[in-house]
Amino acid sequence: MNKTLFLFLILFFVSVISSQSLVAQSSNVLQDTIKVLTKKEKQEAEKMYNEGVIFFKSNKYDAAISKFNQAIVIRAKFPEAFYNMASAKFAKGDLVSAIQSFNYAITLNPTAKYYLARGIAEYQYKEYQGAKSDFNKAIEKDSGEYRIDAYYYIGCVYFGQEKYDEAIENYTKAIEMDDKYTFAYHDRGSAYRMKNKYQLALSDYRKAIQLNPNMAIAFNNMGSVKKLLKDYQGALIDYSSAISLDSNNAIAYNNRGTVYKALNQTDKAIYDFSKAIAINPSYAIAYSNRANLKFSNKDYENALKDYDRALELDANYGIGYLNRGICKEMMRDDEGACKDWSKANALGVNLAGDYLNAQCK
Amino acid sequence: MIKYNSIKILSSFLIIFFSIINLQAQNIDSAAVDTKVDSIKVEKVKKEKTPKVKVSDSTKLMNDLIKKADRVFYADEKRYEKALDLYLQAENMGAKSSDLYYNIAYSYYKMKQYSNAKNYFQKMIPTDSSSNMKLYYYLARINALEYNFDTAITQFDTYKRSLNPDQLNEEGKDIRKRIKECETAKEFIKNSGTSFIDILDTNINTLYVEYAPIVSLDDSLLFFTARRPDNIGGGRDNEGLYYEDIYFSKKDSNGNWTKAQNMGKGINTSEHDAAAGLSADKKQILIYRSSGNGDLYLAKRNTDGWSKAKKLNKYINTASHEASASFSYDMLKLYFTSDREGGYGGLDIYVSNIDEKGNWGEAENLRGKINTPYDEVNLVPLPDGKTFYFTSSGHNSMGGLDIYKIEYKDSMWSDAINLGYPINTPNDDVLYSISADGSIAYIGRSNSDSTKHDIYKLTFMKTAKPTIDDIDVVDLAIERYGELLPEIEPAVNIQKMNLSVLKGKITDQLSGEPIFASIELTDNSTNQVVATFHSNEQTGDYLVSLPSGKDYGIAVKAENCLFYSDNVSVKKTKGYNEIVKDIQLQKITVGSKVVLKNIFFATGKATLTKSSETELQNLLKLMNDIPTLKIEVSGHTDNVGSAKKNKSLSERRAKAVVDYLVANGISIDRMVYKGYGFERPIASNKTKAGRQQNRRTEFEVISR
Repeated sequence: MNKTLFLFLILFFVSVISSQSLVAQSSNVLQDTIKVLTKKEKQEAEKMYNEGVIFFKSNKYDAAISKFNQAIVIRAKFPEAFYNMASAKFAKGDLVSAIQSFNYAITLNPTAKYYLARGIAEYQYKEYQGAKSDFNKAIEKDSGEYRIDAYYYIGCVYFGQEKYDEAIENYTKAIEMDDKYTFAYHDRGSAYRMKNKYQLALSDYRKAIQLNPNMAIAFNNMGSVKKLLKDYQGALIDYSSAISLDSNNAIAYNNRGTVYKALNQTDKAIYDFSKAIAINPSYAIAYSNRANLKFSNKDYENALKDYDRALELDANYGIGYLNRGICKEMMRDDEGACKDWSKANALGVNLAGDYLNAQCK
Repeated sequence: MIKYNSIKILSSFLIIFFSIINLQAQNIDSAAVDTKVDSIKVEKVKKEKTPKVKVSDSTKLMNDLIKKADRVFYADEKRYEKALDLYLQAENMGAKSSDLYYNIAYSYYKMKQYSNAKNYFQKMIPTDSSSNMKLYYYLARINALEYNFDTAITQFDTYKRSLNPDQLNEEGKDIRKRIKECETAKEFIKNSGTSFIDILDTNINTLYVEYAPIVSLDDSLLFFTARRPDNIGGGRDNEGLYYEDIYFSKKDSNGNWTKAQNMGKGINTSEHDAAAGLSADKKQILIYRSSGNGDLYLAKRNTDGWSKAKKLNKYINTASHEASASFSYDMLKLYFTSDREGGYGGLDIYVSNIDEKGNWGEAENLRGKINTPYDEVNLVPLPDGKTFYFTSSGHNSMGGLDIYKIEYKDSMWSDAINLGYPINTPNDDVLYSISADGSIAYIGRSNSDSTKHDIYKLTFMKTAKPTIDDIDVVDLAIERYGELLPEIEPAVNIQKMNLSVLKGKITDQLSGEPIFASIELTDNSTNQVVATFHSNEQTGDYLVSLPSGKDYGIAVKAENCLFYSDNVSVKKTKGYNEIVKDIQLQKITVGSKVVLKNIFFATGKATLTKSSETELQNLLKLMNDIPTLKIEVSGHTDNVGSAKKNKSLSERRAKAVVDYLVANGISIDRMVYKGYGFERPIASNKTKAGRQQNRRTEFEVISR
């Protein structure tokens, strides 16, 4: 029974009695009595907190944060309020502030769950050392689900640090404790892919799909491995599955476009790249790929327009610079080509560095 | 059939170069050729001066003009612009015939005025079905130059079908070759490459004729041939064109060619002198001179400048025509062009090796991978010793002269590769020199509808680098589906106010009449009054709502009544709970007794507990309210323990109450205290509840 209904019943009850002149006492006194007792029991903080929980569950994170904050003002030692406030900040993407709130929550209640949560926030903030230390704390304090999640996330941290062997090791621990851990299979597949262990990668992606047949990204990534293996037909099937699971899957459209291009099915490739762009007009990669297609048809002018757009959208897109440089070279803009290759080289595209050394002053 | 191939016309280097590039040397239509323009003017002036004549005179004049034109047109030394002028005058005077149109069209064709030629050839078609079918051949050639390849093929075919067996025997090969060229051209254009062809600026190209650009391997020095008024001697050949001279230009610090200058005497003579080739060290230049049917010369550069050019030996120069020479990079070989006996036909490329004494040896034909029955010229080697370029009207030409690449590996020539469109065109394209890295070449070409030759720079485009298609991956599931924090903490239970309603009726003990009384509730855990209220005046009813789960003390006071006190334990319940407590009050009369239910002592002791305070205050108030009141406070126990001990305890407890009142200002005179032990039980001592009731403190009114 919620609070409002409850009060209403009391008032209703009192008013009925009063009308019968059975009560010598005014309702004010009655209410006062209740008020005095409530305050004494400090339920205000909990009420605010509960309202915060309701806001959180309807994704109204700002309102939730405000309520949790009010709860904390009333009751400073309220770890759940800190934890939930941190979660709301995290949901908003305000990672620094979320981590701060997790800090308070952990001071008051240093549990595996809270360490895991802070670790995840730090992970997302790419504060990998802090994240790893928190995940290890969670592992130390828990033998159940938080421990499993902590292993999974340590895997993610190592992945983020490009330490794929360590990533695989930790994903494997998570899988050993929970053999239905879809994400762990999927991510381990990606780690295997990074190690060029394509068959193991495919096997893990397949397992993830077995556990969750709607996991579009697993289809997408499986398709990408098949493309690397030049199994173009297999790749087409997987990308198409990803698209049928999610018709707004710009990534899968983009990738399928590259397969069609490799198969010289230019019209289909153009369609897929354009579709990816229609779904996500800020999709730099799809612009660059479409430009490549135009470039290979010697339509340099229009290719250049797409390259320009791609780099407008992502000024740090190294491959985009490499490609645009190649296009500019063919358009006799040697200076422009060298500038683009220089930029691509600075962004880590080694091939551009080779071109730069060979052709530019 | 009109023969105009290069072999027949060998009088000058000019003619060779121009015939190679199908200029059909005799009638170069160029703004530069002033004398010819003058001669036409003269004719026109004459025409204007012609007085009005009668029709018969006019017809005669017209016929005379045509006769005169025919003489020029069919002469050995053909002067097409002269013939054309006369034919056009005749046409202006009303002459009309298929032959006239043909000769006008053909003259235009020879003068490379293709659109005019086309008009007149086409005029023939409707006028005379028996007209010279050769017109289709020329229309086809013009259409091929204008990139109308399908039309050209149809027209070649039309012409071919009109030929009798003898004619076909003679011309079939040429027609087939030209059809093939159209087909090749279509294919090349479809698969065109990316190279850039830029005309050199006016420091090199002028309104005169420039060609044969010989550029040093390091792309810093340019020799070329031009026909300009500042040639040595300043003369013109019998075609009215200035003699060829060699010019040179250097690159300035910005990489631009400087204004070209005449090489001067010693290199240039008063006749034709043309640049043919240059050594890698830029110190020896090969020169073509028109003397002796066209021969090759060599000049060397020393500290004083260029030496006088010396004619090369007999293995190089013969009675035939020699031109376009080049050195191998190591200077051990000399490649040159000659139409000498024993070749494959047309111009062929030969090589001569230098002997131990430094003399050029016997020349060898480079054979069938390079030479064809058509013309091959300008073998240009790259410093790598294996890559060569040459120019040919044979092989798989797309029309006219095309540029080819060929490799010499393991003592074998590879197949020649046509460089394709846009380096080659249906017109003539000639490569003269190339930079050391093979990226830049210099070519000569003319516009398709002009005899004006210029020098172009060809930038070979490397094959397009591969662009990289980017596959997009989302490596980690959480990147796609978001990091999943552990669940948020759930809502907490708010302690609900489980209220109990305490209600009842307050009446007089004896009469049962309702009493208007004040009721005071105390939270026993805190000893604080939580509610004060009254019973209904008419009915004596009262009602109060209380949070459950607590013990309350209830004290009821009414005028002239002894106060009533009791404990109410409101159990923690869910939802609504009702406790009914009816209370009977006693009037204050002597003998009235009240059990002080809310007075508590420490177990076995006479010490008042704190929770007794409210009850004691009530008693105190009663004593103050009725100053005359006198009371006896009595203590009572259950029967557990000795009578003596109980009596003593009960007395001490009664005294403790009296002491409290005394301490609060009540005179001791108004009170007595007694301990009755278990002498006056009010309930059975056999039950726990009974014993509890018997353990009590009472007061009795002894007077008021």
